[in-house]
Amino acid sequence: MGFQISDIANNAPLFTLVATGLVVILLESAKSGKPNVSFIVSLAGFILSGLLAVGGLKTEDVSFGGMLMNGSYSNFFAIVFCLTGSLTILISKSYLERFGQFRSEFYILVLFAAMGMVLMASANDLIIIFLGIELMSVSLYVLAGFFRTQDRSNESALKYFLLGAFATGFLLYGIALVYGSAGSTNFSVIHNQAPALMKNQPLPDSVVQAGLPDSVVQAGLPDSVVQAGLPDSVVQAGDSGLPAGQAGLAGTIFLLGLGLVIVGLAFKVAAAPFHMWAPDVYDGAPTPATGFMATAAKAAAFGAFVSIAFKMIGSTSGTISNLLAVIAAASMILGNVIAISQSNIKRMLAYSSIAHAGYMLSGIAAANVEGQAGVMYYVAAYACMTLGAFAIVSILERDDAANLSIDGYAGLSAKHPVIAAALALFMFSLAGIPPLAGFFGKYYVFLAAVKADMTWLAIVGVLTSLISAYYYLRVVVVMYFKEGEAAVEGRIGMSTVVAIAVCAYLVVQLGVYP
Amino acid sequence: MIESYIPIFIMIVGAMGFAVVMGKMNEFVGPKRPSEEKLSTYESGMEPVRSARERFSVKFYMVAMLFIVFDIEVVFLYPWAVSYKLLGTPGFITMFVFIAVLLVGYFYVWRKGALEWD
Amino acid sequence: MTIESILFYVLSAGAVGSALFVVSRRNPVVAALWLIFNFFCLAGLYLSLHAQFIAVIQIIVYAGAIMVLFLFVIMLLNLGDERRLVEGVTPRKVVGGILSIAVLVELWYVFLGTPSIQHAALGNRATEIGTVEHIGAQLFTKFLLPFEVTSLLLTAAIVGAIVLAKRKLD
Repeated sequence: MGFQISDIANNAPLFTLVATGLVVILLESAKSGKPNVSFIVSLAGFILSGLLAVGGLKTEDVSFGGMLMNGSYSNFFAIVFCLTGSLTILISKSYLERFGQFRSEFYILVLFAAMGMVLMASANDLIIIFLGIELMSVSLYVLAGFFRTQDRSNESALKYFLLGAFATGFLLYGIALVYGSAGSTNFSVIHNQAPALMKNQPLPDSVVQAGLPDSVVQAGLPDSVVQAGLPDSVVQAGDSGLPAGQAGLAGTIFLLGLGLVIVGLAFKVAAAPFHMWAPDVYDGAPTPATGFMATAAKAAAFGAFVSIAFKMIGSTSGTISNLLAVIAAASMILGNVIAISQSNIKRMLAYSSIAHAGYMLSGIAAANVEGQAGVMYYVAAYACMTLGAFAIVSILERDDAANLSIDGYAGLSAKHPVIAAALALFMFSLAGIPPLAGFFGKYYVFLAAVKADMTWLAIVGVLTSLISAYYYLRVVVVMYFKEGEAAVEGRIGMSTVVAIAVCAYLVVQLGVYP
Repeated sequence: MIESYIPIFIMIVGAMGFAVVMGKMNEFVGPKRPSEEKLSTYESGMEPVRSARERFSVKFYMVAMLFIVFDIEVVFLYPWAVSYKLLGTPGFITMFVFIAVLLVGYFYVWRKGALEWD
Repeated sequence: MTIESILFYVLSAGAVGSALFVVSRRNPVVAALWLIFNFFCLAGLYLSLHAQFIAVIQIIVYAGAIMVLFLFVIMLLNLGDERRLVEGVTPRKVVGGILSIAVLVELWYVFLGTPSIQHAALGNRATEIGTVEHIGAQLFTKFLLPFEVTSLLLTAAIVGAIVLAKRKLD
């Protein structure tokens, strides 16, 4: 049977989010709920879920018959998602009110997206990865188009949806090919077979037998069903001993499948050749949704990426590493160089997010323990600083989508010194200036690359970081040394201020005590 | 194996053939006495022939989307119903949870008034 | 040639041919109708692989429900003369075409060289795997979690549909 009682306790963060999401829908349907109620309930759900994830950091377990892997890894990502989720909710309140779109659906969709993200990070099976990505993406498509009357928002949703659906096609085809060659979608099983498949060797019998999913037998089904099951036939295929040529082609198909899976995931993290959607989508979507997309969705995609790279493929893969290194280098160069010429701050942050995807990918390409830890640290640091930056953008944005240009920030330091200081802090951190979180993220990732004999990748990373300092610091220069009329319309929402404070605190905290 | 589909194949061919034959037979056997009056457009009426491509309201679109979502739900019910005896109580609980989650969605649709036409 | 292989070639030719018609037709409604034909060919292929359940679902969900939505969208947009959309051959298209052909050749190379690995081993059991009973037994035990997640996915889709398409949201 695929289910045990302990599965619920293991996945408490996930189930908390599910319960919260359903409760918010019910409250909204009962019409007793004002958006304010949804706001508070969602926030409470995220915080509770995050706390449960902190509590679950220590226990390592597998649940739902090997579908999910719970432990420090999945719970770490769950904490990141809950943090970004709750901060997004805090930022969104005053922003949505200002645009007259303060509705419960925003919170419902954020919650559902977060469920998908938690699934992606704790997945131990390609099917769960796929479903998690879909759950996340469907919610994000709608969040991007949440301002239904704005053309920009609609355009953003449509572009995101069309390209996202296309990328999902690649991912699914890749999953099918991996399943076809390895005979399973389970990470542990594929992991056992990957070395043989990579070296184009015939599968040893023992591996095939060890990799059998035996849940069918455990399910206590009548014999007829068990006999009908696929497992037996796989055993026969293994026993009969495939000729080397056939197994070699299975290896080719396996690599092809992996390549397609990587294409699908690279799209989701907005890495270089698959990044075209990011600037337009980030620009058009409501700013809190953009912040959520840029941080939580990226973190989730990296959660899945790291799982696939380390738990499924293992560290045996030179080909895959090289492929990832090229994608990483391309993302760093492209993102940082194009970001220089951007005058719109949301587009600038979009290109910066492409560049940061490149930094994180170099940790995965390194394929060592340092790389994995580096990516996890980077994801958390990046989430704090970018979400903080988007929070400040959301304060300054006006009805007519004006005031998004970087020049519009001139003179901000005189009018609102605290906000300007916070934005400067986030920009310094994004540029990677010590002792802030962004610096240590880059440091760990590049260290991992050097250890994996990919010094060239680390050099590309350091050089592009230098380029990036230019456009991040330009924002700071404009704020402090240019005369201007940067003004905040109306009152700044209390909740947004809290969110910015939390982000700023974490950026410093993560930097000082890494 | 493949031979076992022959009855279905025969049925499909039979059904299609029946439809075509009946339609054509109507054309050939039915009495046709066309006259000037019958062929002309109704005097004060509109031109009866124009593009069939009317612009649909977005309302149709939402109904279609909701239909697909619940259609997929029913697809899952089909294998469940077939193996219900085999699955027993755990299977019942499984489907209960599935339906319960979708029921929340249904409740939302209903209370939002998405099932009403205006 | 056995009946199976004749059937396979006929259905595949139908599927590939109709797919070409789908992308080459100017009128989107005609393209959508060719897509239905394509779905039927695919359903036939599934059937010849003994995946009866998938074949039935293919017709009910895709040829039925999804196509209705396709036609609704075409009607909703109602571009009128679609000829306006056609643009000339751009360098981008040429590069795209060359790359697509390269991928096609690559896949062809891989699959042509692959003998059907599990065919002999599966034997008679292949018939049983695709049955509704077997899918039910697997779906509600081993794939329990994916199944339940599907309900969440559908609920998110419901909320999304209403947020985007409902005229008045209160």
